[in-house]
Amino acid sequence: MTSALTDDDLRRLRRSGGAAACNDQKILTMLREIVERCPDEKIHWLLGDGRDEILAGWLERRLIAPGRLAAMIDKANGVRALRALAAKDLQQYADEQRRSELPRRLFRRLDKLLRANPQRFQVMILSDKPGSTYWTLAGRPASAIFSEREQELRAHVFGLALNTLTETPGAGKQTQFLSAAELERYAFGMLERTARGLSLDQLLLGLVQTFGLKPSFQELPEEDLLNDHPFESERQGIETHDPPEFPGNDATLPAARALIDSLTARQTDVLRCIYAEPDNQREIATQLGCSQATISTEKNAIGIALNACAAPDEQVEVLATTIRHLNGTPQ
Amino acid sequence: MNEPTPYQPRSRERPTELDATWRAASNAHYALFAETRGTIAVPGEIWTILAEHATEEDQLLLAVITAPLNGETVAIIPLASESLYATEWDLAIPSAVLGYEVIAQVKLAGTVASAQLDQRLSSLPPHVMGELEELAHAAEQGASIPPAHLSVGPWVLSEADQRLQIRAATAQVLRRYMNPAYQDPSREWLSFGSILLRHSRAIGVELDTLIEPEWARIAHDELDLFERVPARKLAALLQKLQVKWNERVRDSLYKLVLDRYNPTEALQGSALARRQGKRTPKAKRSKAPLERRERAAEEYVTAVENGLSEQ
Repeated sequence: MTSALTDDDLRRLRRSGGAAACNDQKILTMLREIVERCPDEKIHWLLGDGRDEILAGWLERRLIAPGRLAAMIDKANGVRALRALAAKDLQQYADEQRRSELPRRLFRRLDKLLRANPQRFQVMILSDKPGSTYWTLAGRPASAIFSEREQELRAHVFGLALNTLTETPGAGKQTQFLSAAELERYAFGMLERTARGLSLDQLLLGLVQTFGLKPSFQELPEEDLLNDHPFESERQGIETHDPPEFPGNDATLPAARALIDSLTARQTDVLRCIYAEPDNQREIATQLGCSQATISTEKNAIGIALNACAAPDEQVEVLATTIRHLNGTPQ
Repeated sequence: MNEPTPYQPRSRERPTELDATWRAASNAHYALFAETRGTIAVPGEIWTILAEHATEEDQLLLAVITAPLNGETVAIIPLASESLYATEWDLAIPSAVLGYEVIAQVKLAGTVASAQLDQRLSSLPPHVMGELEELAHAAEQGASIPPAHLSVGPWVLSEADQRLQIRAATAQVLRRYMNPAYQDPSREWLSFGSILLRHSRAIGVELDTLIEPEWARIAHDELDLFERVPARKLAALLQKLQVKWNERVRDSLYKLVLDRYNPTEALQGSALARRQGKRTPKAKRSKAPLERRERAAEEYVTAVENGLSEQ
């Protein structure tokens, strides 16, 4: 039987950067308990799949890939705090699953709303695809269309301060997210504030991106089914809010190679161990069959070699490249 | 008012390669040099921070160290994982740094006691730290909008934006952890130049295209409106920008005129002195008396208000 998770375990997992947590039996046991103990009425729409499936889905779609588990471990001061964070996250996951159909429904509602109010809204640029049709205000027609910048779109949606309907976990039916009046205020407000024409896809994208309504896992449909697919504009090039990432070109490889060439076999092993568990010198000594003093000496030698190969600002990056290279996955 | 200090970026070049191993590599680097560098936190490192009277149920605050102020205090910028609510004053930190996406909230910066630093998690790559310093510097200088090229969230275009409320609420929560550097984290909303810029952004028109070239400094709150911009023209500009006249707009305009009003005769006096070969005083020209500036501000604001109602 797995022993209970302790605060020391949390500190250890934080040191290793959360990646180890995904395979940590104590963490998995705790998460399983949270799923098992969650009252039926809070997640009843997921129960058809069984609680094991709920745990698997939660882990796969929310906790591991986007790094939420690591984020929770970093933030929790103790096991009790981690449990509270995880229970809240499970509820958010369940709500997210429940509203996976919401964008599609909002698309239909917006389309109907715009067409049903010719005294308020008028077509600016007609397209055979409803999502690509541009709309403007009938009383103040725009002369330009909105540029495809997602950041700006979101800024306007935030500016409208929409009142969203809250989800009641026990409710049998899902909420509409926005009341009819509020949806109309949204469409009118966006066209008024931007003073430009907006496509139906852009109007929907504004809501989806601002309120995080996009399901975190959704298989994209076949191309021939895209006619009125809600995310068509996004697929056609509207910038999405992906986090900035680092470029993939590796300029640190020569320095990493130089470092590898200058290390002895034992120093290479020590570097690998430090990379996996940076603070655990005793464990590393046991693992490599030598004394802690030897590990300390080897660490100094690696540090000197690193200083010789790379400027201080580049050393972390060079180490990352070195480890990838040692593990056989150079860029 | 002090001259803004020019910003000196540490490094603006992006490194060529980094990925999700950054956090592990950063900690390995720390372990390699821990014995020689001691245990002090250095700028760019990310630490967890304990609340001042922490309990097991508390959450830890994640923050970037920006400066060790003395042996007992460090300056920090808090990190938040709710990147959905990022504003233009929140820098997106690449997910490689911690293993998940976070934002650095420069408007919520502050100081904590060194004893509150709990555990080192990672460090910012030099180019990201450079961007963060640039954003923080702009905030410290009281800029109404941040530099354009940084990876920040969407602009706040309206006072009703829920992100301002979230920022204010977060600032309250953070008082358990730190002494805030900004008493009002939404202060940029009190600037008249910022209001004009945000509304021009909202309607998708460059402010420069709506104003006369000599008014360019209006966006930075550096123009003497009373002397340079007729009230009816400003009223027309506000209308074009769809700025709704409310207490905040009125107060910010009043404050701007009060701060910047410098009557023409003072300029003439100084110019005359120079023409007569007298030395220009080294000290900055003193402002008109407060009472006179207050009168000018009141008069100007009322004239703009009247201009708006006529239009």
